[in-house]
Amino acid sequence: MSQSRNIKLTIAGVLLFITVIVAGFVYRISLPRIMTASEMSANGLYLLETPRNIGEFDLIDHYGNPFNSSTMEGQWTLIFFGFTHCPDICPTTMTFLNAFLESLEGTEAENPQVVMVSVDPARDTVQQLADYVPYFNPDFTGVTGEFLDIHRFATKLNTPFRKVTDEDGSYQVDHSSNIVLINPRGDYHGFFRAPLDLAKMKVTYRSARFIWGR
Amino acid sequence: MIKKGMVIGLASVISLAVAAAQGEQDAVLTIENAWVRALPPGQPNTAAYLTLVNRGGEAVVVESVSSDVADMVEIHTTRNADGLMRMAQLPSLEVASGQRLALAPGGTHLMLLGLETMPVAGDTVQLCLQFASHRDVCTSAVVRKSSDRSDSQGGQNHQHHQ
Ligand SMILES: [Cu+2]
Repeated sequence: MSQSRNIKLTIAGVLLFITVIVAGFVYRISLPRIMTASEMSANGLYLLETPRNIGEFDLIDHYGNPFNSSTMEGQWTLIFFGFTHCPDICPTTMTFLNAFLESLEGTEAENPQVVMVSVDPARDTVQQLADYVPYFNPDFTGVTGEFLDIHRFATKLNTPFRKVTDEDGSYQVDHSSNIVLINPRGDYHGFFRAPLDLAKMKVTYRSARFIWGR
Repeated sequence: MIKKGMVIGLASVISLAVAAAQGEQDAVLTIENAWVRALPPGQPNTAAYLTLVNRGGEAVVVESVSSDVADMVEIHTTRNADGLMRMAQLPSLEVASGQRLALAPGGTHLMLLGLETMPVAGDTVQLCLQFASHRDVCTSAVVRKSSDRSDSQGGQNHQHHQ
């Protein structure tokens, strides 16, 4: 009686042991691989050696609220510089960023904020951005402001843009399609170099967050 | 006997229907995967993308494009100049013999200008391509919010002309 009980206990113990080992193994391989800084840059995310304070700036979001340095504190922020009169690369990037957010899982999904800063504030009023930006994702934020303020902000983030006037008087704005990464201290942390790739951006973003949080 | 006749009849009806569904396409020039990007209502312009396949022995040149929903359609390409993206108009589009030319986001695209109303996802839009030495080829483009492949920012066949 007690012998068969012992056998049962032993079997249960062995099974438990195997389960723990297998579960540990599965957990390990399901864990995201954390990249080093050089691996991240090889995969499109360039990190600043030391995250840089952006200083003061004073812009306005598509709800009409101020968008300044404190708005970016407390969460990771992805910034895209675009404009609404840009029917190819801008919607492509906005759709991509929506797919990127949807693909995030676990802690990474918790709090990234996506912001489109207009490089064409003359046409992109608060109302224009309110009609445009949430179409791609209701949580995205559109930001506009005075041309010079936006230019200064973009320059600090190494993301220049240039207004080009055509012969007929119409204009377009040449702009970068990189995505700027701001850390939860509100500092300029790095940028994702275009053309963006969802799988690479996922693993580099995850790695940057992991290393920063250590 | 009667059964066989019915089967043949049915088969020819089906093949006729398939031919009709394929519309104005011909054996030499075909358009695949045509789609138009749906943007927020009120936007005056949007972009269209398609793949043009030339199975003929000679190159063809797209000279102009028209659409039932836009005042004007232009051929554009997005170029990367010193890290800055810029759209530029192309006068025409050449498709070499045997070439599959894919227009895709972040690269060459058709620009639909002066939309009366922005089409919404699920609509279809008529696109007609006019050639230098070939009759027009038209297609019904589906309206979508994004390309099927939303996991990359630039098109697969995206070429930078620098
Ligand atoms: Cu264009």
